Amino acid sequence: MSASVDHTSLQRNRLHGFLLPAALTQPQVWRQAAGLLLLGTLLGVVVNAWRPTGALPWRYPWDQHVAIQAREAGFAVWEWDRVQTAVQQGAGWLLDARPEEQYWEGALPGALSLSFADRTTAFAALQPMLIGEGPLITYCSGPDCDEALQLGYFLREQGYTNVVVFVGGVEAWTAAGQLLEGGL
Amino acid sequence: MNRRIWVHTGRILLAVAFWVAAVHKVLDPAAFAGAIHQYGILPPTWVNAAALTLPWIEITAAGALLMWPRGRPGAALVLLGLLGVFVVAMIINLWQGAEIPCGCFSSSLEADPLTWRSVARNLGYMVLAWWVLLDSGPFAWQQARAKV
Repeated sequence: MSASVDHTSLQRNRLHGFLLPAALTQPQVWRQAAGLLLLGTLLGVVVNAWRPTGALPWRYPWDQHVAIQAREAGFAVWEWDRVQTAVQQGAGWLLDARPEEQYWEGALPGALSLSFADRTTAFAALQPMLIGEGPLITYCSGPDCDEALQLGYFLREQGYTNVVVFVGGVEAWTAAGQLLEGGL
Repeated sequence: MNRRIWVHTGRILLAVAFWVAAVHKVLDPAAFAGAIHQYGILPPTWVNAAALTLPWIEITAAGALLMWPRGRPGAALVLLGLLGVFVVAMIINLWQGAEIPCGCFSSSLEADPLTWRSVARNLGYMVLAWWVLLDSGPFAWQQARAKV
């Protein structure tokens, strides 16, 4: 039986088959793939509808995720212009929650470094300065980072109630044409 | 004979890997959505839809790979396509220096950070999926016939 096989053709098909598996040339394979995609999607819909902890919304503004979380946690959320007014009036303290090396590369004017990653030691050093009635305004690199919010939780645990989260952070500040300064 | 055993082993490995990877995604879709969002590939409002459907597509395709002999090429094609998208998204983020969770076997940055090893692992899975595809067409039949 092996004599009936054209080995030259077989070698050619072997290379062609490796670069383009023969299965990919068959419409039924693509139909199978489409069917599996559809079935998987339907399963996802059904399971989400029956999720014991409640269905996850199909559409959610992930670009506002940190702001939504901060508001739900009861923090005031400020935009850049309100932060700017506070900076100009010297009201409260601006706290940079990013790693310290990023703070030294450029921070909001008047901000102090309170890196969330080193919060315990950084807070111990800063605590004597954080006096007065003004808010503690936390920020990090942009609307997607959550160090500012996490720092807000930490400050709340330390007994500070007037904590504001500037969710837009450095990204919103510079996008508004405001300048950064070297860290203090 | 040996080749068949290797192909079957590869197929089982691939299916089990996808099932294991789907567990954390199914149990905590919100955390998985957070991991997808950090890749910055999808528009923010599409992220939840991807997090809710992707793991079930993986489970379905991996199940077909194991339990539906005629559907193996289609299942391998789906997994190959998914892996291709994952690898491109990973490379883009690693290239940009992003420090994000892989989202592969966990949605946590500490447990499963995105590294070049994640890319290598997915490329390995792509080789397995390609192998299953190679074994599924007329080429495989022709090769088997040549041995008769």
